Amino acid sequence: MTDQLRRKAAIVGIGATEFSRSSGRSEQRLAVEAILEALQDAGLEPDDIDGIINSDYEPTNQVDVVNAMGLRNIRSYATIPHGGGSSCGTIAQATMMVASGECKCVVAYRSMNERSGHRYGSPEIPAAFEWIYGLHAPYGLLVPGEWVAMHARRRMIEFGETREQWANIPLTCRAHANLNPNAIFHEKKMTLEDYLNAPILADPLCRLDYCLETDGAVAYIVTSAERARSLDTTPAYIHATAQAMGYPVWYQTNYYRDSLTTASEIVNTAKILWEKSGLTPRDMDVAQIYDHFTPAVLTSLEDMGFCKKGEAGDFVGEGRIGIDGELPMNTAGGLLSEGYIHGWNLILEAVRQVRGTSTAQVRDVEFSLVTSCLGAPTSAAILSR
Amino acid sequence: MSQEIPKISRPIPKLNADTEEWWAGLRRHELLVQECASCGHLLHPPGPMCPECRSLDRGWRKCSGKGKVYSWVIINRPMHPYFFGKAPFPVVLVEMEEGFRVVGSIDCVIDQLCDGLPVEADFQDESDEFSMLLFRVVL
Ligand SMILES: [Zn+2]
Repeated sequence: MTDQLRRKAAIVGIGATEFSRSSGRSEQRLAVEAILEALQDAGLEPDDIDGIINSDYEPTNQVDVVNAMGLRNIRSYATIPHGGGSSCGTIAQATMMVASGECKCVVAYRSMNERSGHRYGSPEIPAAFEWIYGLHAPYGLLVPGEWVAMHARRRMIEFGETREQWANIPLTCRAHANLNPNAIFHEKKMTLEDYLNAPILADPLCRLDYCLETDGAVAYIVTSAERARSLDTTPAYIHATAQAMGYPVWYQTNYYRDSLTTASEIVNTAKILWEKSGLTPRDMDVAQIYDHFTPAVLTSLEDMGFCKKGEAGDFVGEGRIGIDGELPMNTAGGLLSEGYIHGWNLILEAVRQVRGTSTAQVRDVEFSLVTSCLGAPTSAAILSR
Repeated sequence: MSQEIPKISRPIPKLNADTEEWWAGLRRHELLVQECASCGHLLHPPGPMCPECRSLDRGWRKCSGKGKVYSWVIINRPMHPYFFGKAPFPVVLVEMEEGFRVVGSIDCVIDQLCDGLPVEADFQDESDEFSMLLFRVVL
């Protein structure tokens, strides 16, 4: 049975501020700058917006956006939880809001001064650590890199992976960032030696396995496929979306599952996505894979079905994830080298690949995949021309 | 008048009714695992319900303390000020012989760490209220 939501909605506008280490502006202002740009890109007006979506980690309240922009027509709103797992879930939500007829034009936004303001890589210092964090914090595991390193070690143990293999991911992202003037690391090249000599922060992860910390905002606009065709822009049709939880599931510390090298939330998301889309990994012309830490990309590629378990280390070698490879990946530089807007900048690049406007454009893109964070309830989307 | 410089203390867990007995076990120098009183399923981290049979009847089993290193991280650049000056130090994930995993510290030379390294649970008292797991290598 064909998915009822297939190609019923489209992303018709994208907007972003510059990505920097210090924006010098409030997160509220960054958010409305990105939204205004997305509206202009779509050829729509603020008065057209009747739905608004953000993520649970978003510091800019929806009412601040409404007040700042004078949005008077909002009739539906939603917040998608689970941090980095939520980014593509907002596309799923926007699709439902538009395809149901409840909304005509939905805006989704993510804004953060994650470098100059609160950094996710620096621990809060509360009196005591709640939830799962309490089991790990006393021993010295307090931030995402330290949590993820435990999973990364298992990839080395189970699959004999080497840091030379891991290096292909940050090196490819950096090469793509070098083509993208908006990337934080546009000017800065990276060599294998740079990677192998980078300081090991939480062994086995080095600094270049860690994503960036970035100030900036992105936004996108979703409308119905019918309306999209009437606009003076190239629509990226939403072919399929998926969200899944996995079981058991915590945030980046999934130490209590059968496997530390299989992410059940990605396995489940992939199953739903391929079923709903009627497509397979081989149909993907380009992919934006959530790259908060290098080894997480390898597990994501396997669990999405791009290669067998334990083979991702080889899969990413020999140029296969470069622009001319089998699976061109993270073509704007990804979270490792373009910027870290909690995965949302990957959505914008997935749209650009459908439009043909990427700075690392893949030829003849029909299907453009984007995924969200491994290690938490997550999501993914396939966009199409 | 001299002013006391506030001392950054070790991060500690915030307990709730589902987890306090597990930590109380460590304080008594016992490694516990939650055991479903209905079906016998072992659960760590502890929770309010058995995810297998949905029983709310929660019990505890005292573990042998024997396990094997399953994974580890060496913290070279700590992000939390309590750990500044203590690096490099290892944190281990240990698979206990009862079949569940638990995070702890380990008393060993970093080069000793390997997959399957046999270890035994010991306990380190941090305060009158709080003890931690400190694994020792079984020779
Ligand atoms: Zn039970």
